[in-house]
Amino acid sequence: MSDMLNRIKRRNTRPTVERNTSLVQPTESAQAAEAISPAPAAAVPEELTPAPQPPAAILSRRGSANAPVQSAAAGATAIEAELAALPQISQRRNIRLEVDLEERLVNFCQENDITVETFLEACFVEAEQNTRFRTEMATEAKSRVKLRKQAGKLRRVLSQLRK
Amino acid sequence: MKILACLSLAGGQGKTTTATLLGKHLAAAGHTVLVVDGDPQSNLTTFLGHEVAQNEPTLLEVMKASVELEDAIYETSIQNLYLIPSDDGLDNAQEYLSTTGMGAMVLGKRLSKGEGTFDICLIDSPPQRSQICKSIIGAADRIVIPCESTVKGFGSLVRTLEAVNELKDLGASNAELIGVIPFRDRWVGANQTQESRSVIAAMREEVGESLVLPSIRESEKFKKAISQQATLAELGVPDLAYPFDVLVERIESMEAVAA
Repeated sequence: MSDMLNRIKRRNTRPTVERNTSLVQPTESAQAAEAISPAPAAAVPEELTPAPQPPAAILSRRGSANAPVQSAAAGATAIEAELAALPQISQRRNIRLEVDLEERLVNFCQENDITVETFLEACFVEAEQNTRFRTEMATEAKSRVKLRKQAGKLRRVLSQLRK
Repeated sequence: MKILACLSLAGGQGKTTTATLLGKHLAAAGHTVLVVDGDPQSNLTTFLGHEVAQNEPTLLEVMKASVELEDAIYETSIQNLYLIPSDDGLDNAQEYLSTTGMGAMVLGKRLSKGEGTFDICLIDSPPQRSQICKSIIGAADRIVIPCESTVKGFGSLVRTLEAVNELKDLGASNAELIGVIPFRDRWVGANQTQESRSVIAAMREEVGESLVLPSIRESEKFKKAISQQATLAELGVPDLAYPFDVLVERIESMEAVAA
């Protein structure tokens, strides 16, 4: 058996390596974070303007000015850890809304700078904590289910009549 | 050591299936085999039962020469079969290879240290015309092209042959085609489907009768053999292994292996 095979078979330790397996490069993440930070208002003097903040993960890794620059892989790991601490989002699902209500709902969300998804999440969280609210919402939702089922049945009958 | 690449520029052509089963066949025949997972999807790594830890050396570090070759070679549960694994991080090799200027030569140079230790090095390639793929073609002595018995498969064969010839014309590869394996050859009872028959005939026209190997039939047994880490013989279907038996014979007749 060759020497190399013997060494491979007997190997207990290997050199450790740093490898970035993320799709997004750490520098790209930092750039993206900066891109979405609020732009300074034109009227505010420059010295009072808050500088765009990089993610907390990067800030926490920054030492003194003389500290060695962290590697790109370590940056990605820290960002991944920060990301893991934030709420995980499920897979996309289609939601169909009542036409008349949809416009009012979208307007409401735009006025409050929220999305339909986060509105739905917030409603549910509130309902979990408020029994009266929860009951009223469930009653309203049940009547809507009933109406949708009725509409579905009518559409089915209509399509059979047209065949 | 002879270096053999399982190559195709399209997905689903049977590269990893061929590399996995051929590697096991060669090892069972008594050859010391090094299989290299050149695809960041790392299915070959998974199929050979290896799980890559975040800080373990892989093919990426071998390519970048940040570790010694043997640091990234792992024993598998199969006797005589060794693995250089990969993971998603292998994508980072693209940038390294494109900036070295001699990307097509890198992998061959790195693997040359296995000379004298391994009889055969078998490389699974990614399904893209990428820098990694070029480096695999550059490293290979022989190329086997698995090719699905469909129109898409035939298209990928033509495209793959063009890529190999392009690198050969540039002097960046000396690889010779050892064979084309028709993959997912469909039969209904005793009858081959029209599409499989006509596509395999087109393969013969393209590369010559002698270079089209016996086909890998469409069968769940191949998937089973791979996912259960068993051989086709162990699953009670040794006949399905015939394409690999023929390929092993061809590889054994190669000079450096026979010696």
